[in-house]
Amino acid sequence: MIHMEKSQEGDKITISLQGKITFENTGEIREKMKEILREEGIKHLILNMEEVSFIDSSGLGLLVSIKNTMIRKDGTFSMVNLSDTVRKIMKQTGLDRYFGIN
Amino acid sequence: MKKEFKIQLIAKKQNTEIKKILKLNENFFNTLKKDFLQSNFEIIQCHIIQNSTRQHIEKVVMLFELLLDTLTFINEELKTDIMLLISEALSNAVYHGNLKMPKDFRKEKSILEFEKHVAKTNPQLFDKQVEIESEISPDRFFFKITDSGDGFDYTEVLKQTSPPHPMEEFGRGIFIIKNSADEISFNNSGKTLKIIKYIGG
Repeated sequence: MIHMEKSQEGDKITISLQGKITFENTGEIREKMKEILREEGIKHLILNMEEVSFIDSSGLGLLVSIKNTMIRKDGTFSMVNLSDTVRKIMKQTGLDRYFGIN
Repeated sequence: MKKEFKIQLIAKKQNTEIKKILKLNENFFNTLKKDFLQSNFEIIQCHIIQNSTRQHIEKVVMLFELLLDTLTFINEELKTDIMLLISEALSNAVYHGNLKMPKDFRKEKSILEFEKHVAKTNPQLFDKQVEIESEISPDRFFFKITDSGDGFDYTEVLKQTSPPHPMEEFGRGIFIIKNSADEISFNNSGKTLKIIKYIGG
């Protein structure tokens, strides 16, 4: 359902997601993320959202939980290349500021 | 209760009206494609009876997505709003209404694990029905969904006017529904949710 690709440079990891992030696949993404974040030494997580066309409340919840985890680890979490649709949904729920997107 | 998946679709334009019943079989998308996905209809009505399985949910979400794409009066922004309304309302009806997913499952585990748990412990829950009546016209999107759960106290939900705190993981579904729709109302002890989004104007 969702395609994920990762590239790592030192303590920075970039994950590109492709597809929709909805209640249908948040479980799957959560598991993969956990695995990735379990690796020692990752401080900065960047999600490339270019190919994410849609997100629902479960997907937003998942992103919040990832950001909360990174903060607890003293790391950073950011998202790049958001589509207009995804950006709009984040604005609507007041998450644009928390995620630092404009 | 029995396994059931039935979609009755009616599509209208000027002098034409077609009516079809779609079942969950190998002809599902062929019938849909042949009769509904090529003409510019003005009004589409559907009546859906489905169970609480992932397969049924996915089919229904896909159905609406395909239908919306054929309607010229639905732009990208409206499509996003309508798809959000459908996904949130449908997942609420199935996972909260019919399957009664406990809070800690969402937090610690995933929907997938919850479904495995239900399959092991109480598989007949998946037979619980969801009924949807919907109409998409140049005036409005109408969506009425009824689950077979116990209902819930929706008064608190209706009072809430701001989104959940950004660090909060859950509770955005209903907020998104309220925010994306023009009118919503609960009935039937919370088992029925009616949503209206105006399109014209």
